[in-house]
Amino acid sequence: MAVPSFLDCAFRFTEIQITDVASIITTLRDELVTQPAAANKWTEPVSGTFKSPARSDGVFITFATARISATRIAYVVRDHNGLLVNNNSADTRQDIGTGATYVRIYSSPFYVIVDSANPTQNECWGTGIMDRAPEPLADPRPCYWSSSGPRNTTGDIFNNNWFYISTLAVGGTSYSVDTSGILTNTVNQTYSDMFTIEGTMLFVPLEFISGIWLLGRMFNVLRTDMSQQSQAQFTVPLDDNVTGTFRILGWGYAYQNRLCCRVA
Amino acid sequence: MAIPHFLSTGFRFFEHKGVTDVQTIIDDFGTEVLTADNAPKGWYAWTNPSTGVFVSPTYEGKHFQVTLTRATQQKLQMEVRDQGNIVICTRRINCPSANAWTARIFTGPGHVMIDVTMFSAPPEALYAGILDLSPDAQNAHDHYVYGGGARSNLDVADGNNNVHEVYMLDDTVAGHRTRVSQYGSNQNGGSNGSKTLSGARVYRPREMWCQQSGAGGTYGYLHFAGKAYQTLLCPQSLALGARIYVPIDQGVLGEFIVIGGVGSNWTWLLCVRSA
Repeated sequence: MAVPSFLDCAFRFTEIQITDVASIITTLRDELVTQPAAANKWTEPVSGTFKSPARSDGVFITFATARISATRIAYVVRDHNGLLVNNNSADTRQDIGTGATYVRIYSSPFYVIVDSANPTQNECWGTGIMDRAPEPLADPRPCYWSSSGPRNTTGDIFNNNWFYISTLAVGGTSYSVDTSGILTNTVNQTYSDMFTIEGTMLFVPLEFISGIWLLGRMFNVLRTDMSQQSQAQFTVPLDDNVTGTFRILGWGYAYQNRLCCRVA
Repeated sequence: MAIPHFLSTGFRFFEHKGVTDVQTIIDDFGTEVLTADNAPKGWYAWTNPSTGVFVSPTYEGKHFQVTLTRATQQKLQMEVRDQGNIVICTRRINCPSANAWTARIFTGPGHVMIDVTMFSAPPEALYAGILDLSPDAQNAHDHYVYGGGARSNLDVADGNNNVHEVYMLDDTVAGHRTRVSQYGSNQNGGSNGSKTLSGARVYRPREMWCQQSGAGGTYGYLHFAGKAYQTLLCPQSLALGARIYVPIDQGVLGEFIVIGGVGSNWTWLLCVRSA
């Protein structure tokens, strides 16, 4: 066996407690630009705008951050051609609580996820490049994803659920949320949960589709049962002798599933 | 890498053209499962306690039983029983009298598929098997026998026969339901990601879910039971009966044949290993 390619990339995880979203931007800078090994370093061409590591095949994403207020941050994501990925709103916004709020940042050369434990409700934002193994990331074109929520430009809670993800459809010219674009492997229209009869909890890839086309998988993210609470951690076997630790993300559940991301 | 466990069992394939009596299919089936006994190839002889009754070898602690009956010259019936002798289903195929047929018989210690191409009528199939219980131990539970086929035991094409519609034991009651992992969008049945952007076909295991003991009823949740051996979901765009070559490990291809007699649903078809 071997660790699947979508679970076999560099990753980082950090947890901070903050009172101002400016700390999210400075922590992103540290986690993306400063701390990673040379090959995995993002760059910051403009202050607050982060570009994923340069690759010979031209696959990269950029996202710009902006401090709207002490408790609100905005993100704008663009693909390698400059197309707006989080396209359902001029930008995507995220709040932290008015008091000290825990924020967890998951990152790698291929994704960033910012999970805010806003006391009112968890708010989660993320973007990334899809794994297209066994085919190359860039042939015939790279595929990107970005969360639609947790808030829209007016600051209202909007699509704060992992189900609402913006992608570029095959033949499409602009990114959009495709509610038919998530592959489900459970039984349709039936009560089912992510456990075997023996009681083993199942973890499966998050795969994106566009009609008959398989776009790719989210790196280092797995779907599991909706009953798990935000921030719960699990050890997941990745190969015969390899395990990984995954943490439940703050997004709301859909398809009776929650998402978890690798932390160790 | 390694070949997935559900594709690593023994398997045999036999094709008989020009069949005009279902007794021939029963005889061919018996020859396939009773005379083949070659452990290195994963072939283990079944037993035949009485006429038409075939009991699979105990494989990883599991077994099942099928009873093949010649109802008429054109009508073949398969009754499937689990390891506890509970009848999982009794299904039939009806073949035309106007012409001869081609019967394809796929067998192994964990699976049976009889797929008959009728030519003057749509193909029909009968199937049964045990599940690979991975990631749990192979003795983890006792809801592992499944079955299905084109028609009821009254010869009614009742529609309870497609890629996702399978007979199994739910709690203590055997019945059919949509119980196979759909591998598609919940919102749109036509969205299934069955091709990569470069045009390569995508294949998926045939995974089955059922209500475990004590969890029956309308709202009894389904839990993952296991995967069918030597069987894959394949894109619906393939021709029925097509032979396709599927990479099952790095540098290893398996030959599979697209099954005609199990209808598509959510845009997948079935294919079963032939070489």
